[in-house]
Amino acid sequence: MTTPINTQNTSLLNGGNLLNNKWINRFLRSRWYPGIIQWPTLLIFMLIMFQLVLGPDSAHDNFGTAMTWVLWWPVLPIIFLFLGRFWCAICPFATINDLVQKFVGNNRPVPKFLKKYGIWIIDALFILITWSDHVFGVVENPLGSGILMLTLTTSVIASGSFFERRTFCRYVCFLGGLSGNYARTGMLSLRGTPEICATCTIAACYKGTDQSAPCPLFEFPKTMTSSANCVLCAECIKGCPNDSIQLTLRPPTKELWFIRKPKMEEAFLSAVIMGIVFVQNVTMLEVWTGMLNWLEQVTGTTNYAITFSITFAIAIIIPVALLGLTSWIAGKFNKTSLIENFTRFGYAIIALDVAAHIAHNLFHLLAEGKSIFYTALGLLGMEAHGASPAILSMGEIQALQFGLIALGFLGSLYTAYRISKSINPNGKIWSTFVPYAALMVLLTIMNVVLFTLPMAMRM
Amino acid sequence: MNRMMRRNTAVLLITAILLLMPTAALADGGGNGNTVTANGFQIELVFKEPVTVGENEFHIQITDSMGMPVTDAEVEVSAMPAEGMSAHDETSEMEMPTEAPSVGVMTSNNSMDGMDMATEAPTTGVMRPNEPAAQEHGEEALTIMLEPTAELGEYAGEMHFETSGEWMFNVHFTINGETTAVDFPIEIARTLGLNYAVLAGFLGINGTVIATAAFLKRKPVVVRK
Repeated sequence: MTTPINTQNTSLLNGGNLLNNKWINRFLRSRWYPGIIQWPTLLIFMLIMFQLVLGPDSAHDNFGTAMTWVLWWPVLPIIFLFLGRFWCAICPFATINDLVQKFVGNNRPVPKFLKKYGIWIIDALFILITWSDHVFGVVENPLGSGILMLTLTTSVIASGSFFERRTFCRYVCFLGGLSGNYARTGMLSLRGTPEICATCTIAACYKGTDQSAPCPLFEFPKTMTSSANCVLCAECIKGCPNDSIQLTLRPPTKELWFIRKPKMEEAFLSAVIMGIVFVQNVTMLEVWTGMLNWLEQVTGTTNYAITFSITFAIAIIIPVALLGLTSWIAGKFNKTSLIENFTRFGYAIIALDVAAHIAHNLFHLLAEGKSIFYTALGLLGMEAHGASPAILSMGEIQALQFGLIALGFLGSLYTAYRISKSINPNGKIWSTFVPYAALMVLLTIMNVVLFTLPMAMRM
Repeated sequence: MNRMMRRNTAVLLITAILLLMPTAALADGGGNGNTVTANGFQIELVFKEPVTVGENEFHIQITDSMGMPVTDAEVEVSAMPAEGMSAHDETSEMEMPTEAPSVGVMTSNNSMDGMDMATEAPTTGVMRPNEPAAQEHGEEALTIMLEPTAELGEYAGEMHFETSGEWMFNVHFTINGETTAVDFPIEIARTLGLNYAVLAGFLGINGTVIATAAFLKRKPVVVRK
């Protein structure tokens, strides 16, 4: 059962249907949307690919590196927070998928194993790619970044060639898992109107019509309770003959308060992301060299793949183990199993994940942001030697980082409280909540400590 | 439909042009040799092959003012990207020419007039914020000691360059306690063989996938809605 929405007379900022605004309505229903954003994005992506593979081999001269790791990657979680998975609607990989599918698509059904283990596969790929980045130096090597992009391109071409809709985006894309989790904190929500959808038998939103494509991510707005797999492509808005679709604003993290069918793999991913943020921060800190030397002495090898893998594993295990321990302690009070608590409360970490992820990348965006402009000048044969790439000073960036971490902490804390409340309607709310509150405090302190230390650049 | 086809064709054409047109970012290959006179010595830097990214064999020929080969020198060479050094106009007193070789005479403690390049890895300033912490993340100079060869006055070594572009090659040698240093700006040519091989590999795989899909599409498949 979907939550009833009555937005006809509500203000847009207070849960009203944004589609009641004629400009938003026209724009989303236009045949130009999302193509008008999608195609220029694809062209820019081609230029980025060209630069990564055939452009300057030094990362700090490469426009592709700057666009990918200083602009796109840092901006991505910010987009998720404000617009949910909108990026996925205009993602160049998805566009390539659709293009290939249009001409040679076999439209075979999604393999069953992908449906069953999709998110675990995404979890594994996300961990693998982050690990590879550190061991093989993907970010600081334009060709390495190019190979990553080409691998993704090949994957979507294969998926679009043989499987229906955007199988890759829904079940394989490592970014999709991250996006899905982050989009739950997003401030935009697209849903069907329960009263209208209840009488609908044609399911145009899911199957598509002559004027609209079927939902590319296999969602059915009639029963949809999560924004994790809604990319805001507006095909359902265009296709619904009953004008049932509503697009509303909601407070950040609201969806996390009422996860109806929590999944272990999604809760696990939220803890893993926290670990990955730790490792991303740690390896950019000046203390990292000392830690590496110590690890080399302990393990007796200078092989970076080994020493980093140990660090990586520890960094990922820490938040997973902490969540597990907290769930075990909470289980003593709410008489719920460790697994169930882990699965339910793992979602509470997502707010802090998003905040830490944005805060980490804010450094790259604001301390190296002008490198996008400088490398673009390089494309035109001009140079900007000696110029600072910083948009803001380190002090200002750190203030923003701590502000974000504080917001993330409050979001996670409140989410944990709401989850406690929703699963303990008859009491024991506080005894369940307190262990998780302590966990959020601990994770926040760890983040704050990491953000106080100086970081290295990507460019 | 036709309009859609034309649009898609245009996109594909632009994509193909972008992928196939030769890159404007290719650097020119540098010359094989360079000679400079400093402190009464003539120093010649000769690379065995045009300098490229990767391993490069080279030798230094040192002759004195009489044209006699200098056989008892301790020769050390260091190199780093010229861009990293040009940034020092913001952060240090070092001044580095970018066009012509430069010379200097070191004092006994190995610090050269106004220069410190060989003994201390300068920070890179290009595209770094004006923060002390960030400036510490500099690119380190590559430094090697050269071995005398069978040829009198000749010292040889190998240097591995990670990236193409302008590099500053600093040669400093000590004879009778006096150190002489010279700089050779060099241009390291870009080799794109691997890049094109990667691109061709992916194009081949993608082409095969698309061709296979097009072939299989002829056979009807069940589409589950």
